[in-house]
Amino acid sequence: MLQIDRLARCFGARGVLADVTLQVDRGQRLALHGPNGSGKTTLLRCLLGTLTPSSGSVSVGGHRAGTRAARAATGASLAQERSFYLRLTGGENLRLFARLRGVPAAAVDALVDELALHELVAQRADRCSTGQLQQLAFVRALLGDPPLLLLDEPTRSLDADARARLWAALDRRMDAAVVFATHLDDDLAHATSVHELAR
Amino acid sequence: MSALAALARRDLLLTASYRTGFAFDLAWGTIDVLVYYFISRVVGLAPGAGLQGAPSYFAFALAGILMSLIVSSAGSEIASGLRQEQLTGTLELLVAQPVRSASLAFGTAAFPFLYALARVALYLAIAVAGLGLATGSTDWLGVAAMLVVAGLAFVGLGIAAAAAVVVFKRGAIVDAAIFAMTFVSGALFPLSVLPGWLQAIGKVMPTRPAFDGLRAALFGGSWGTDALVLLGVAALTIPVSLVLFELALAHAKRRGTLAQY
Repeated sequence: MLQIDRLARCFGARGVLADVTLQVDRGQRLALHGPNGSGKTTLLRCLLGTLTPSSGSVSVGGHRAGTRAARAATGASLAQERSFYLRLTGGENLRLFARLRGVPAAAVDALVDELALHELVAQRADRCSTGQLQQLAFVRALLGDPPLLLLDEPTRSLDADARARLWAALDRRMDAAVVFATHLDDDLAHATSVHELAR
Repeated sequence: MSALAALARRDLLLTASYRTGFAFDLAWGTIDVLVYYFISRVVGLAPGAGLQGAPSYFAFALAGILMSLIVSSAGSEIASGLRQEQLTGTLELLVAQPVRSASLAFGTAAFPFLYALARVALYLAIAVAGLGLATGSTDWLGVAAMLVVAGLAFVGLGIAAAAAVVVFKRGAIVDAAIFAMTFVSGALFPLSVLPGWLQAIGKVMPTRPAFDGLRAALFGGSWGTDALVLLGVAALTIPVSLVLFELALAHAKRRGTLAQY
């Protein structure tokens, strides 16, 4: 599903990622593990196609990352706290992104039911806590059941119940290829493989 | 099409969420119309100042105010909308959706244009019902056509400005450029009262046929040529600006600045 070939990314003279080669198939769950600043988010952005690698290539389902076909196949949750329209409710935000992805509104309702987020979707995003926004971001990533999920520190601000719901939701999507970034050792138990990144 | 509607609906909800600002917007526009109405009642015209068929200075200025709303909505609102996306952090996630960049650009332009059209309709209604604007010779189809083609003509400029915002993260110069263009091309004063060198600049501004055409449609003139000129501007600028927008997004992805503000 996901093929990363000799990917490198520099910012000016500073190399953040070098020679990353990975493959993630459907049903696999890859953890990108490393301390802050090790390039986890940078790598996820390269996979999402919002950051162009300095060299190397990323292919999603046979399509170059960032192309429309690759974007349609990818659900992502990145930098959650800054990626919502804060004056809209959680539900309005989710319905907007559902429409942009060509996903029917009923799918939003089904996901809200599945993750028990009814209160959240009625609330304006600027009145949600960081953890609540993170849960909304996770639901947004699941819209349309994309075959590739990219999750940046998905459990960072979640309480134990929300963490359990998140992993359970991923367990129900055994067909998806999942790449998640984390610096928490507890999260690694939910991965089928781990790629270590160092600063 | 559904992406366009989704983005327009988003902007409607966001605008409506600022209720005071929404009301202030409409009130300010009404005051603007009233100011020119009263100016028109107390100030005489300079000798030789042609009003392009308008029955009064108020009618002349009103057409300028209405068209300026359209020009400004099409020309600068995409850039300010995208600047807002940069500041709130939503741009990266928007770009990550399976939506064409053209849909993103037109979707961002859609609500401001429709909102401008609604304001034009409101101010026209106030002018006709409350301020005695004569519409006996108005070609309403021509008015609608001029507003739409002007929107198309200036959305290209707006998309190009949005491309500049993606790269440089600044958009204020667009508002200044649009103000300057509208000022020198006869929005509020007949070109004939401006100094000769300004008249020469005003005559070649793409905003000029927009003002001339709307006045012609409102006051019994011929607007077809002006509409055709604006359609030509649209045909030229929209494809070029869409390429620029695509290049700007690619540049931001290369530089890693899509998520920066």
